[in-house]
Amino acid sequence: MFQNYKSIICLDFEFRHDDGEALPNEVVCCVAKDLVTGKTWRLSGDQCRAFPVAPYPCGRESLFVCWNAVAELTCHMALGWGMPANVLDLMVCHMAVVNGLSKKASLVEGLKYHGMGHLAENEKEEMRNFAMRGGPYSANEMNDLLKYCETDVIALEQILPPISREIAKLPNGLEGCLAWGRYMKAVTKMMITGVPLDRRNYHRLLEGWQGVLRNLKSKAHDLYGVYPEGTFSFKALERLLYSAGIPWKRTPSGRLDDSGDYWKDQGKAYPELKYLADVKRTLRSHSELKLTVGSDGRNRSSLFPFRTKTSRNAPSSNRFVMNCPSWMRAMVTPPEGRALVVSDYSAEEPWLMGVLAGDKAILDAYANEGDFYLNIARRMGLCDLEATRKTHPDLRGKIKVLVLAASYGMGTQSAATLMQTGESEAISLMRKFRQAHKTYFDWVKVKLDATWLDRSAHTRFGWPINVPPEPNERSFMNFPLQAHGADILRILCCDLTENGFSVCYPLHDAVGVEVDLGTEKEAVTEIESKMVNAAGWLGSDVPIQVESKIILPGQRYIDDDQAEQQWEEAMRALEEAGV
Amino acid sequence: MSKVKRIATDVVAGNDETKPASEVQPDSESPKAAASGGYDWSSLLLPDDAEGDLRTEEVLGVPRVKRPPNTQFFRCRKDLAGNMNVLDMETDGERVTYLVAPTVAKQLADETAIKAKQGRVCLTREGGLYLWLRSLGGSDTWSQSAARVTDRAESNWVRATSSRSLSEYKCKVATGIDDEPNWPKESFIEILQAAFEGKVIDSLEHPVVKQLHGLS
Repeated sequence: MFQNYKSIICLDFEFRHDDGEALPNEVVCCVAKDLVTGKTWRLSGDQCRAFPVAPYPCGRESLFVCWNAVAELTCHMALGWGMPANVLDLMVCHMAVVNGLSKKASLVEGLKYHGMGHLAENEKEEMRNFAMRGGPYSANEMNDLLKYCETDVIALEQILPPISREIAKLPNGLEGCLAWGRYMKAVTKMMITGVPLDRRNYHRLLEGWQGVLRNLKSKAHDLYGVYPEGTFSFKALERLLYSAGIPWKRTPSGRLDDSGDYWKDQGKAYPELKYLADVKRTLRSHSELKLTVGSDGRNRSSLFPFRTKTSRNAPSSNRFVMNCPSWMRAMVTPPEGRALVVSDYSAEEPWLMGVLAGDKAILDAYANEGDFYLNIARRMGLCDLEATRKTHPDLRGKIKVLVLAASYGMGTQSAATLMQTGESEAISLMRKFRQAHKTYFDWVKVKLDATWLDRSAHTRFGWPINVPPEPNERSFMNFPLQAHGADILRILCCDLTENGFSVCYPLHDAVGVEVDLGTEKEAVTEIESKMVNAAGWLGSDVPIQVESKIILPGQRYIDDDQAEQQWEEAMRALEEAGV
Repeated sequence: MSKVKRIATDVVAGNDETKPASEVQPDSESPKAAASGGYDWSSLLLPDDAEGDLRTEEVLGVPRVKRPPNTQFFRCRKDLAGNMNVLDMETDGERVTYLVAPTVAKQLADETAIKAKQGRVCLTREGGLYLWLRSLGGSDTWSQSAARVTDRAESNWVRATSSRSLSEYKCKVATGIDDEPNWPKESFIEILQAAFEGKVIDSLEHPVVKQLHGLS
């Protein structure tokens, strides 16, 4: 499998990296071993820093083997060694091999999976803390650190043969794994870039955060009456729901469902509750402001690439600003002399439904002029050509739910709730939608049949998933759409970062890219063209649509009017508190 | 089809962040490599494994021997119909319909419990399969109205409800359903076999016949 490589470098770094900073504060040491020649490099941080380029081969004829490449690649960047050509991240390979089977992603767990143990399993925590302490280290201490660092290199050497056998069985073999390694390079660059924040207001929020939370509760109480004396009251919520006629799920014990996911769904289904749902989310996830912000005022947090079954990133919901409630994202603003281009795919999932299933009706609705969802409604005979978003907002909302329902087999009851309609109407609409898009539903059936037969599935670009003993049919229905969306975003991030774009973040079906002020319009054209090309690799006569907005210095990232209103309220609360 | 929007928002105090670190770090690979053609992602594109690969087929379930529920619309097909002899038996409070082989029916010609019926296969919109039996040559209003309903179901989605006061089946025709039924590929005989599996009286030694004759 590796015969084309003149060197196979297994390596590991120990380093100290403060939260939010672009690069490690200190590279403590590095051990690298070339499995072809047997040569080993044991380098202290000082020795590393003396090398202008990596002392081991990193070119096109060399394979860079590691576990969770972002750490090693960040050290490379900190040392000015640049990116190695071919990255084989065994963590990603392992995650692909065991995807769907609820296995963990650590090196120790990877070794266990293959029946092996780690030499320093019990010392890991202690040695990691030792490295995090930072230098200076005595000769003996450095010796201990190098010895510990080498145990990870030995572990890589041990695990490489069994993982290689698994790689050979993956749909795209080694080439697919190297493409994932390519994405890890893009992730490293994106994490180094970080998301630029309005530093002044971030610090104000940090200082007055508890006051902001109190203000949110107070405002929510004024609007909904559910925070008497600053504490959430289920009784008050019950009264509110009763008077508004809003149905609400209960837990087996009879209590109103208070889970974050349910609030999120209900906030979407009942726009009158959206504000309260956002407040609940902020209070739940952000009792403290935990954003990890570097000394340059940029938010950086691990993107946790490949951490979901669909291989999407899974960044933290309270450390990563783009995963925070929408009003908090108003902290995002480009620095002086720069602009932030935010580009996202329009209705990516429906486009994928059409492309993957070859459903001409969906693709026609996507390609035709006008709103995609109303085009679908027209085809179902539910409105005429004159209908627009403004004239038929309710119908559009219902069709949106139908498309969502189709993407993961949502039940009629949930669909009825989201559509704010009776179950019989939901059944009737879902039936009509099925009839109008038989090709898609037949494709889903064939895909699911094949998945149950093979006990696995994979995307056209090779991201696999195993079928666990008790599979959830709905998540397997949704897998192709989400996982292909992840594939496309990976291709896009690679293309952008490899062409010198400063990508601040990828987010589901969007990217934020920072460019020099004055070049933003040309950048939008280029970024959008790359987005269309990235999706175009799947092959379709109907190109995906893209939408962009430009945020200039002094402007901020605003999702909608409500986010803006909440941001302004937070700022007022800070002002009143004298922060 | 792209749209560029500007966000008009309030002005905040300028900040003094510098360019992100990634821009000043060397990169041994890009952007040259990419600019000279970039990576060919199509080399990773796998064929769609579902394409034309229907590897399972639906097996006929158990058709129920009764009229379709009065809440469900159904369709009939002319070729999915046939005449037969049946016998209704009540066992432990449950009514079971048996199919009586013609040879047995002939030998039990005096047995009034054995009745000649016409069976019509009905497929509901929900995908349920029913075998609706009506008296063969019956001149009563129930039989005649049942024949009218099933005949109409050959061209329309219909729903049958019984009206005790009129002693007939009322037929409701759906005007808003234009989808075609997804018929099973099995023949009438195969559907009949599935409906009466284990309930065929094919000899005089059958326990049900013995029961009728008071022999068991």
